[in-house]
Amino acid sequence: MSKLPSASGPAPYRNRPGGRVRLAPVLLCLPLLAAPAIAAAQVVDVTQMSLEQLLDVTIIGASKYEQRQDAVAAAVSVITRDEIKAFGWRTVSEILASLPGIYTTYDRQYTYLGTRGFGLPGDFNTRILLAVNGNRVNEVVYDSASFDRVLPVDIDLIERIEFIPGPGGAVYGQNALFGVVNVVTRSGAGVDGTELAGSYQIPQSARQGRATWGKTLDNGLDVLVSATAYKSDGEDLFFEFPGATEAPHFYANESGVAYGMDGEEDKELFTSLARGPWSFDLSYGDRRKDDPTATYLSEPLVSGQYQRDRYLVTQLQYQDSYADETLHLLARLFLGRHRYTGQFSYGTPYSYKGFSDWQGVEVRLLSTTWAGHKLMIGMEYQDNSRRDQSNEDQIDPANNLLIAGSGWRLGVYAQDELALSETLTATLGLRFDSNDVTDNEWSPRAALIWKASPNTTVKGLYGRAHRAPNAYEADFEDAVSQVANPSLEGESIDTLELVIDQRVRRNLNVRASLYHWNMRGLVTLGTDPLSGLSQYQSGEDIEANGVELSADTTWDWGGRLRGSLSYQDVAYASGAGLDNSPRFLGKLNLSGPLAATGLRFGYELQYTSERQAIDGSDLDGYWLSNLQLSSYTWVRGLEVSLGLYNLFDTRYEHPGADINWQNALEQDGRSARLKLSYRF
Amino acid sequence: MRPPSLKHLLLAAGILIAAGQALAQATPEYRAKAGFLYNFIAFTEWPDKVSGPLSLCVYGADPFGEELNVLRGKSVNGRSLAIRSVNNPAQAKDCQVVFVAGSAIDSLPRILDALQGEPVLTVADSKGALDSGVGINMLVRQSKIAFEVNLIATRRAQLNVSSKLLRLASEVRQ
Repeated sequence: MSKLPSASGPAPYRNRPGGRVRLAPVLLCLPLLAAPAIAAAQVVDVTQMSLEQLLDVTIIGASKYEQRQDAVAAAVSVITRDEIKAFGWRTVSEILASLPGIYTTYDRQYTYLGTRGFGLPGDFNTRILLAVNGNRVNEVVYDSASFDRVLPVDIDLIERIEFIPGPGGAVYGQNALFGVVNVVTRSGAGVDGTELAGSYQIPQSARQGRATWGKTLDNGLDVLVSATAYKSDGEDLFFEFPGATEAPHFYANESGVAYGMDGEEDKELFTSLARGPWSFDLSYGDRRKDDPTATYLSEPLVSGQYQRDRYLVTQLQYQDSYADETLHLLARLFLGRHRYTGQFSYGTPYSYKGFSDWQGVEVRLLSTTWAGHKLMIGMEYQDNSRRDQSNEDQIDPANNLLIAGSGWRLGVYAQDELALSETLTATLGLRFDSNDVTDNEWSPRAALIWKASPNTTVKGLYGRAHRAPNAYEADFEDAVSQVANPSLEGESIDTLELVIDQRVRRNLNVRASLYHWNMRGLVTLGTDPLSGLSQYQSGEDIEANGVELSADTTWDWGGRLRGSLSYQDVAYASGAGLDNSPRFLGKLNLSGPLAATGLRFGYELQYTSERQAIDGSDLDGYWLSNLQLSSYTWVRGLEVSLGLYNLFDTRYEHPGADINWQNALEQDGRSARLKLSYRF
Repeated sequence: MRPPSLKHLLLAAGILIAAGQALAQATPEYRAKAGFLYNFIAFTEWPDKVSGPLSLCVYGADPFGEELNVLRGKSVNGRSLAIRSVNNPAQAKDCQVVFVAGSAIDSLPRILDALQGEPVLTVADSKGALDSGVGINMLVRQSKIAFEVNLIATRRAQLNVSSKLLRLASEVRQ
């Protein structure tokens, strides 16, 4: 989540116009507006009411709880906490990797998500929108989403994850090109007490501890507070650094074992408060990953090189229903901060920094007033008050560089879900986006959903999404390696999809999804004809066709199996294939009780076919197995689990990017994790 | 294009919220549902081997908030009510009533599997939950709450559901 190396040169300083608004005072005032209403809530003892009386009561909705208003027009996947525990997943990327069409890439620094054949090396997860409880996490300098431990939410605090594949631009705007991931956290009531968890993993000596307290207090306030600490020594792996000893680098080593350079540290704090229509959540994380790979072509095998991300995301939400539950309101204020530090050595210590400050407001109204219509309108305004990038030469400050910036985004959207007949529904949506970087954009969406029979649903979907270039792509310039491109255009994607959902038996559901997407104006690294330096430019168009087949079944003995097969054919308009785009993906997830032992097991099998590395060679495809055994019954409140990751110790590699010396990066072999969690 | 002032947007949001508050005078949905739960328990008989206090467990994110507190410690047919939340199917076995929240409805098949043959009344408020095999399912129709009963499920759980409950149910599956 950073940039290319540089050595010296004047720092071009540009500041984009954009208003700064002090949010804090307004944030404090908003709850006051609703205070009288909370106080006026009348107390009725419902246990004194008869069934007949209750049947006659007119209710208002608790809209706070799960409206999947936009979820219908897509092949949505939901993964719940039960499943996360059953398979012992450690990061959001591992959770999502169990879904059709998703694959991950790890460069021993960050984990990147590939979707539907798109996972270009060097793309920092900019084309997927990640949200925590509906609150955007992608920061504003590099636009990146974090699916590894950079995400400031402990996996154990997740109630469920929703993945909406395909373009979500018509509702969500920026970044939602290939999908939207929403992480929903547990409530205080769900924890209801204290939870202590600890785990240890070999051979990385990774230890993690978590303390969580949650409850609904007598006054109705739901509280959850949690803290997590993680530290891993990592592995001592052998790396090659081709070209490192030659001009212009002249470093000492071209290969060697990186001893003690694969460590990782993470601290996370999370808190949520909710009462009546109000809810508040705050996530803070500080993650540092040591770098054994000498990313950004830095000096090989020098310890003390790392990348660090500090994150703060918080929001205050108000959700309520009015007018006989026909009008739902969601209003939220949000704020995010992200600080990136990349500490490297180029003979002398050097650091890259990124500073993201953003805040804003979103208001969404959902109305079912008119029969046959579910109308949603909303607006979102985000003030990107700081998006600074800097280089710091720790020996010679004269080489320091600061590229400061700020900006804003505004989105206005509307969507209608029309019931055309008993069995036919249409969804039409449109979003208008305006920002300080690119021209105004329109993102439409259209869907037809046909309930062909009680067991068959057919969906036809079309959507477009846009992404404006981020500050790094448009503004970064160091006069040595890269020049800015102030007129860089945004990129857009159009997707057509056909989804068939079929219930074969009571316990067996199958889904087939066929899609075509094409991306125009892909923002990609090219060469500036004037200076001969690297520059982000609008690249070649990309076309893709794919099919995803999946099935989900449960058995009476308590077992569950879900599996999928994906085929994805992705190519540039010139016919060339994409780097890091496997053609075939297979997933199998089997879980259930082990008869008579009181244990539960979760077995996961994944296949990824060969991927092209950036030097044009193909990296072998591979099969991966993970096995998790858990017990909930030995001692009341105690959960014990043992996870075996990469069960068969498969050796496999992921492609590197142009920021790496290595064309391919070796992945972890077999590891085992013991985890205990106690609740009281 | 000039961005609108954040202050104006916040003001608009505030006005919307305040206007909405004025409209909100009916009974909150989950307050009424708490009343239904109390009645479901009152009109259900558990087998004799189940004795002591009755545990009402909420599975998944609790949508009731404070509304269930009214039931805490209340006596039903001479037995006191305890309220708990549970998060995995194994824990649900110790409950007499399990309410499966909408947030956890995807887990329903696994919960029902875990509870097979156990004298536990399962309740949900999600569309289609009755088909999936839940004992009683609550639905909202024209801003009123209705409920449907799956007698196959309650019989399997060795529960006796009173005829009054069946009479008022919008649907009885048997």
